[in-house]
Amino acid sequence: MHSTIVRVQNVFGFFTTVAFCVAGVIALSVFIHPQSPSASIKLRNVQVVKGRPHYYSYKKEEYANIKFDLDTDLSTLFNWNTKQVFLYLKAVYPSTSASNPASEAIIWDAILPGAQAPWHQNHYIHPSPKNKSKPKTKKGVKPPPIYPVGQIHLQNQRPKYQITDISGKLQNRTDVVLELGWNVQPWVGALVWANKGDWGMWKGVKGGVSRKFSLPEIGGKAKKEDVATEKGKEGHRLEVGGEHPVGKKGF
Amino acid sequence: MHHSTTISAPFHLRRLLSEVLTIAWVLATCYLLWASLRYVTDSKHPVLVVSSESMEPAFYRGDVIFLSNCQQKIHVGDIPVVWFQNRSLPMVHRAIEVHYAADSVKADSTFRQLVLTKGDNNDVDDRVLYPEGREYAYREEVVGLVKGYVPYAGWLSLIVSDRQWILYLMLGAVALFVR
Repeated sequence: MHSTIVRVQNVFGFFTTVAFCVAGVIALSVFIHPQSPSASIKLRNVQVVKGRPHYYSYKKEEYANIKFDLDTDLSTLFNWNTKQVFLYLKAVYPSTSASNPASEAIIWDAILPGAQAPWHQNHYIHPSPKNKSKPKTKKGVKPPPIYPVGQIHLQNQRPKYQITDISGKLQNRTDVVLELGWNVQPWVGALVWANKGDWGMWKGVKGGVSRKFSLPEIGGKAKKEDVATEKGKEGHRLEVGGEHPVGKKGF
Repeated sequence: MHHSTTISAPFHLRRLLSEVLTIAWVLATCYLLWASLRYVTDSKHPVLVVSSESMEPAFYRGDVIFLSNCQQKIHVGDIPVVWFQNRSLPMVHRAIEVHYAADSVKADSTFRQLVLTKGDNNDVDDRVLYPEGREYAYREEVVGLVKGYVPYAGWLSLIVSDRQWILYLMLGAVALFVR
């Protein structure tokens, strides 16, 4: 009963039990942290263009480029167990067939890191508002964040993704809305998504849906900068062999 | 009075059977817990270990993810685990598009759910990774949605899957010490 092996076993068993209990308490503690998210989304501009998926496709499809304004305060989503919040703006539009549920497509997303999260290249950096001048920063010093964590204010933001429909046709589609969603990633425990209703101390999101709008017809030749998209931080990643495009065999 | 001295050989049948029963009991309990988890989550693979960096910084290699297949409708922003037939590994990525199409396969003409996924750490969506000619994944190919996770807990499993000899070494060490 007193050999080294037995002692190591006991310590390891005790460590596992304690780690499990601590993780459980941390995971459950998020439910007693009050939340009150709010968001306001406005459509700025939408254009429908003809294009083809940029890899090997032969058919042409209609793509919608949706520019938007976003004002949101998600600072209450960040508690001590929040590693990051994956924020996304999705377009919800009805299917071409009346009996099918509505289609959804993400047009923009951002990864908002929690305070303790180790730096990652994909973390979202809020752009400075256009009329304010950038604060002077010393070389090598990280510039202070413009807004507190969880607050986003974007005007005329370009989308990250141009969306299309499985039917290939998007022009003149009615009853389209932009909806904000998020996925809170904890350090340990359950992943939670945006809640519309109130769950105990978590209030449902206030606002968060834009007004209904329609997608226009395909206009004349659209200017390149009007239908440009914004590359996410993961798009600027330097990959090994990244200078060559990934083929069908590549991973 | 003389019962203990009648057993002269070192072989004790009763004790051996008792040990076998203990082991069988432990194995049966583990299997029962695993089967219950699969039943409750409605998924064949309720627990997985993340083995790629395509979902950083949300999931790193070695994180353990818990799946549930009870949610029938996938929404964008969810994290479905897509496992195509004849693939050795599933893909844990985020759903960025969900469409519904008329079902030509099922006879009762219900709609079919089509999902397009993309890893948070990938530049492009997963179409290049889908089987030839497939633009979307079907709901039937999703073995579950990620609902919870524990960081770092899967590292031993990753090391063992990369270097099988470690597993045999560990089994050998256990056998040695149990004797």
